[in-house]
Amino acid sequence: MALLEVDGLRVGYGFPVLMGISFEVEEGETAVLFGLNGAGKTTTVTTIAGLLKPDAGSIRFNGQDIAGKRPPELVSAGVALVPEGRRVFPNLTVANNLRLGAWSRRGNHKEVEASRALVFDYFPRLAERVDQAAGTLSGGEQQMLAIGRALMSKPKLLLVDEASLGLSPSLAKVVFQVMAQINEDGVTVLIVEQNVGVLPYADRALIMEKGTLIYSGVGEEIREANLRESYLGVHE
Amino acid sequence: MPDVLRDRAGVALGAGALALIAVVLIATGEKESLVIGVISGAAYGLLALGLVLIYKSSGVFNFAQGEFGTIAVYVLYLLHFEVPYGLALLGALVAAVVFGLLLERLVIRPLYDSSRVILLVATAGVALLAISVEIWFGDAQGKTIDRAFPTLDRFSILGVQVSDQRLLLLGVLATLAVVLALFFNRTNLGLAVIGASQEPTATELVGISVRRLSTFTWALAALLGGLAGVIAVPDSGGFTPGILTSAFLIPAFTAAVLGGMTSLPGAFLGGVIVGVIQAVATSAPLFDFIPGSAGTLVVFVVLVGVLAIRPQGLLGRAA
Amino acid sequence: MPRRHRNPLLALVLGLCLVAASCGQKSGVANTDVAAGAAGGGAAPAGGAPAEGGAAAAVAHEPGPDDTAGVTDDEIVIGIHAPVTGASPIPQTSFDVGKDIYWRHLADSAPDQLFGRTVRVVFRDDEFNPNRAVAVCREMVEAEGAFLLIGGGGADQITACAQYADGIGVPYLSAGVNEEGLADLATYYATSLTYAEQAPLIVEQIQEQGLERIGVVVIDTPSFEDAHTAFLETAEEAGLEIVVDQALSKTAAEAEVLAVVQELKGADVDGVFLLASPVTFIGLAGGARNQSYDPVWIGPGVTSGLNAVTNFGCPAVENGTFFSPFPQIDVIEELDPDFVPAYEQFGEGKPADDIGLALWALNKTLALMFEATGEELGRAAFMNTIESTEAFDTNIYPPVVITPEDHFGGTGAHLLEADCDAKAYTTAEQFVEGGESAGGATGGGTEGGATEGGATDGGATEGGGTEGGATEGGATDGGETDGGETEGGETEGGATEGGGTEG
Repeated sequence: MALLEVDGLRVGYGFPVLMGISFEVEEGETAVLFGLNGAGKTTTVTTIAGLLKPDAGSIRFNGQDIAGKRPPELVSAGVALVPEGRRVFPNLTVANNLRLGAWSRRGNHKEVEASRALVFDYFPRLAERVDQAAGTLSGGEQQMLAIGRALMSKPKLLLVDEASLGLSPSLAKVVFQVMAQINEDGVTVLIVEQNVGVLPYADRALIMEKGTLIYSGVGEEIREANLRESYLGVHE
Repeated sequence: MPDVLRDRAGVALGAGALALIAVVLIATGEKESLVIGVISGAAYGLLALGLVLIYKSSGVFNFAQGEFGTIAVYVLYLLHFEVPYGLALLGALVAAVVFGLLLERLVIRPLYDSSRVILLVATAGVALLAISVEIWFGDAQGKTIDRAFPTLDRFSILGVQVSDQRLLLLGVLATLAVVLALFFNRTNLGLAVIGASQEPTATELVGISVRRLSTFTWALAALLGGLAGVIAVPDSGGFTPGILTSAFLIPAFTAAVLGGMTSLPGAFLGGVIVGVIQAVATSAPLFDFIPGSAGTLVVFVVLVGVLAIRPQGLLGRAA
Repeated sequence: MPRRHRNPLLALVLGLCLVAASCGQKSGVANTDVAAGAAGGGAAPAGGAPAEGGAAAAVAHEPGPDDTAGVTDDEIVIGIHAPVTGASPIPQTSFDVGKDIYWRHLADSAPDQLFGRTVRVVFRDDEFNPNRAVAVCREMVEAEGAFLLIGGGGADQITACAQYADGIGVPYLSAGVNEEGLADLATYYATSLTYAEQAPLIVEQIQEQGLERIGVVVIDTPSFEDAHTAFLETAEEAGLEIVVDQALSKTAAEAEVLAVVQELKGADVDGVFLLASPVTFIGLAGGARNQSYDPVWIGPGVTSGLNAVTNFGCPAVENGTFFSPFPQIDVIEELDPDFVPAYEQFGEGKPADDIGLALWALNKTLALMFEATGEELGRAAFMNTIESTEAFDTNIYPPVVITPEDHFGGTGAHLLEADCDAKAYTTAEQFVEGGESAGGATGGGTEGGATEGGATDGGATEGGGTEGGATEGGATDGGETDGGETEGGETEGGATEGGGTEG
């Protein structure tokens, strides 16, 4: 059984955006969802995270139907989203951003402390800026904080929306490497990206176009040049 | 700078400004104005705390904040004929909180996704409705109500008597300002309220129900408004329908803006500063050139000046 | 984002300013600048009019197109506005019941007095707001078809509505308030002493009570400027020591009120001349009480002497002493034995109160005016009649004496004192005669203050209840002697005249 099973998912904002997409993500994988602007990638992950209600279709997480559940329930169940644009709490310190990230586990100080230590392991830069207001961090640091905050809920499935947006190629690479590390440490990751630089770290690739899924592949095939050319318009 | 340190720096700035004002007033023979400003500014400050709380959490300027207090005063008035005063006080505060919860559930929540201007107008509508109910209920007549502490002349400072009720008001206000500042800086719930005001989506995403937070915030603000009413009003003569809206809301708003709209200690200091300005402008010879009553005018000038020069207020944050 | 932050807040503040202004004291009386042509700088009272012919007051009223609006063969409609909500609330139930009782009594006891007509009273709440007052007055005239309008209380509201009524030729009556803004209106009539005219009475009362250090607290509204000036000048002439003179906003915040209290206390003021709304009075008295400071509060007024104030303000208002057009309920039995029985008969179970008494007296005056006008009732005839009738004496109001030149018809007042044991005002003196407008504020016009109706002796007479009440003669004197030029002998008027500019 896959950790995440999406089947016939339809979502709209008065007009249809997702036309009934189906895919799976296995436990322990890093899956990447590609597509151009407006393809429906962000809608897909925000629906999985509970911010949008599906019109039809099912979302099963860990065998449970989670379609239509609100984020607080989903966070407790183990789904965390790093939203597009980071959305850190700008006037709160790094420490307090992380503290709010652990809201669903707030009674358990020891575990929260352990998660915090882990986040600082992944992103030593955050440890240096722990008392700094999040709004004053650089874009890359804010992205690290947003990922760190999501990790504070100890998710089984981490959804990351456009992690590399606005970052320099080298900084983007750092972020991808950390996410590979997070994945190695046992967290299933679903990344929404336009940057093909993430491909080397992916186990599964999904490609969307105009609200439908046009490609789904796993393993080495996704690293072949023709995939990149035919679906992503990248020429090397 | 960490949140707490930023607040401390702000408080130090505000307290320093106040100390300077105090020195000037005493030196120029306006020492009474200082005391008057503090004791009446405390009531503004208490109301301003509620305004700041709502503004912090939902970005709404709550025109109904005063009516939390007036409703509480009317309930206190009704109950104190029937039950011991302490119990009547409790009942009054419960009534204020219930009013706050109803307002949140019936007006704020359905409009939660509307623009803040619509919410502002909605709260103004609620205030008018509450005043109408008070008029209907009380025949628009002025009423008086006993103080919790009747002694007037136990304590006198710089030539001004400060009644026991005022001391209670000051004590409650100072305690609340500190407790709430700690609450917002140190507790998960407090941080969540601030978080929700900055990034509601992200707040949901970390597993916090923004709606429940909203309920909590309005209940707390209503409690603060209720406290302002039941402590300040019995000491200031009598009351009529809408008393806290008509006599306290604009100074309280000024206090909140002076304090920075987001700073709780700022609201407290702002209240005191507004009170001092009103008292000084009314009695100091310096303002005699202003025809009529100078207090209101000078407060407005200060308010507009602060908004123009330092829109984040004395203790607020620019971000 | 400071800019985004600032603009909404600034806009909000400016919005609040506008709200404050529209509810505030200056609005609605903005067009009260009637001083034009008055060389003395003050507003010309009605008596000043003939010289320039500026006011229509001295000319006989001609019937307009709506002359008989509101009058049918069997009914007269009158409109009353008063604040039952807002800063100076008058109990609404008292008003609702009291407005009709005199008319029901009259219909029952003397059905033919008004030539077979009954009177229907339409009432509107003006919310103590001048803009609202104009709106409700318009409504009463246009929608309800009121023949005339009556102001129940509140100087700014009365001024605003009277100016509206003047513009459309509708008669407007009220208890005396200010003179500014009203003095040159052709259709306005005061049925009691204006605040300025009460200055000599107040000064005399201050002297009688032995008060030595006097403070003045006046609400900051143009409507009160004439009374303020009149008091200061009269007090100065009488040798009173004014040690504090403080303006206060109608919507003063607590800190402002307390600062004024502190100033009065710091200056050892033992008597405060007060020209303020009841709510401000209670705030001041309460603030003073909190400082263990109890001066005598004294002033002119219509509403400050109401029992609503003692109900609400006691014990702080214990030292309140106010002049009033009508006495308190404690003496009504001897002044008008019909009042209490009429209330028992028509009061719908509500006990007689002072609001009812005020309305009774006002309606009784009106009934005399309607009767005097005769069967052919129209607005012009009505106004011509009341301007040519010697006096209207209800034995509750001091006699009302109106002439073409002087529409301020008061000739005296009653003195009321708060009694917090009874939570009521009591009538300390009845029919205190007076009627001088003391100073240049009102008398600065062409003829000086000498035109004040009915004032024969500077208000010095201590009118005992029965004697004063019965004095048709006193009123007649006043009625006859007014008319301006010949009046140099009046105490205050004479002084003014000397200083003023002759025509």
